[in-house]
Amino acid sequence: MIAPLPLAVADGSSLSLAGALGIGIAFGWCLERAGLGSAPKLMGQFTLRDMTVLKVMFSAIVTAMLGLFWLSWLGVVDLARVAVPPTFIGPQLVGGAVFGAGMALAGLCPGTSCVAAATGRLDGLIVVVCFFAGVLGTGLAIPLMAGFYESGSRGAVALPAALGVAQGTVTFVVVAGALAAFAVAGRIERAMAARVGRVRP
Amino acid sequence: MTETRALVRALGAMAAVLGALAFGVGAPARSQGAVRDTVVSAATRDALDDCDRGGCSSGAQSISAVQLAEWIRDGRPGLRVLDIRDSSAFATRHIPSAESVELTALPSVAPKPGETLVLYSDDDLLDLQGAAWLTRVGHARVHLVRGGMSAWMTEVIDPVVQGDSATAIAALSRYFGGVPRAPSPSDTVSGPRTKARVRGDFGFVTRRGC
Repeated sequence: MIAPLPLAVADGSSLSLAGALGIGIAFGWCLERAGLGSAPKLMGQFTLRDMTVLKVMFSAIVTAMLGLFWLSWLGVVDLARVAVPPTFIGPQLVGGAVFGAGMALAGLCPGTSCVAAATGRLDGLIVVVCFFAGVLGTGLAIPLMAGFYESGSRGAVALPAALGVAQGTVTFVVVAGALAAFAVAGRIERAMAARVGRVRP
Repeated sequence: MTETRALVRALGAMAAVLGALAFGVGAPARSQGAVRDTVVSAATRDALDDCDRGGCSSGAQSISAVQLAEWIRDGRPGLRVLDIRDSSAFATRHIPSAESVELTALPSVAPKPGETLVLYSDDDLLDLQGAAWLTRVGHARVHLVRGGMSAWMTEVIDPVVQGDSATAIAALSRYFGGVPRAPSPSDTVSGPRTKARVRGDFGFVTRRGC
């Protein structure tokens, strides 16, 4: 048997849902333990006073990238079965900008807002309600912007294919970039802490 | 605190080593053979086998090259044939009435009422990915040609005809400019022609293009 293992089972979707629930809870637990259920913590990223978001997300990317690369090399993971969502450059640029603006305004993103709501934070609950309203509104508006929504399709391309380099090269560059980012983030945090007259423990 | 910093440094060093080794290794498979034998085995092969049996997991149906030839000859309403190989392969030869469409452009192929899409290439995985995209953007009737262009050449253009269907297959082949032939001793193979054999045979029929 080779990973990723199928969650769907022939006799119904209950196991799929249970698997998704388990993964979701684990993801939420990791976010909460990293402190990302707190809006001030996330806002620290935008004010450069707390680089936890960058460190957590870059750590996750590097872990997943190295894991997929080497598990595939070992024959444990079938990369052909790892879903790569298609790229739509214009719509995704606009979507990213809207997402970023919403995250800066709310101080939370969809995942962290669920974590915040689950831990009893009122701001998290409000953000969850608002983003579901946004999802509903966007879904209803899709027919009005279908032309743009489906424009600029580039298919399911990944960086190695787009850049014409080996996957190992991309992996190395991302890992090196992450390690450099961690070092720079630490310096920025210390500089900002000194600037506001307090030293982080 | 010191222990945590040491752990972070150790993890960072481990990531650096694995990243550098990945740069040296290049591809996430030990060899091309390994890709075929291990990475693209198991479930992916299961999906390909499902397609061979007629129904793909993406919702697409597989058809034979002969079936497609009949559809084209009979002028099946709403039929649209998409060739997702590269443009040079398309220029060399393609199935009559086919359009050359890049795989990456498939998601922008808008569904039309009553349309039947038939997809082919010379790569089963490419076919599966293309079919998945087409069904995802709303195409209700998507078909894959089993064996792709190679099957078209060996089953329609240069078929070995015998048995009850010989006359019909021969007529269909001639309709597309093919040269049907009776089996010769060199054609005797045990059991049906496998996909691998069909693909391996492609070279000797290059004299004929569409």
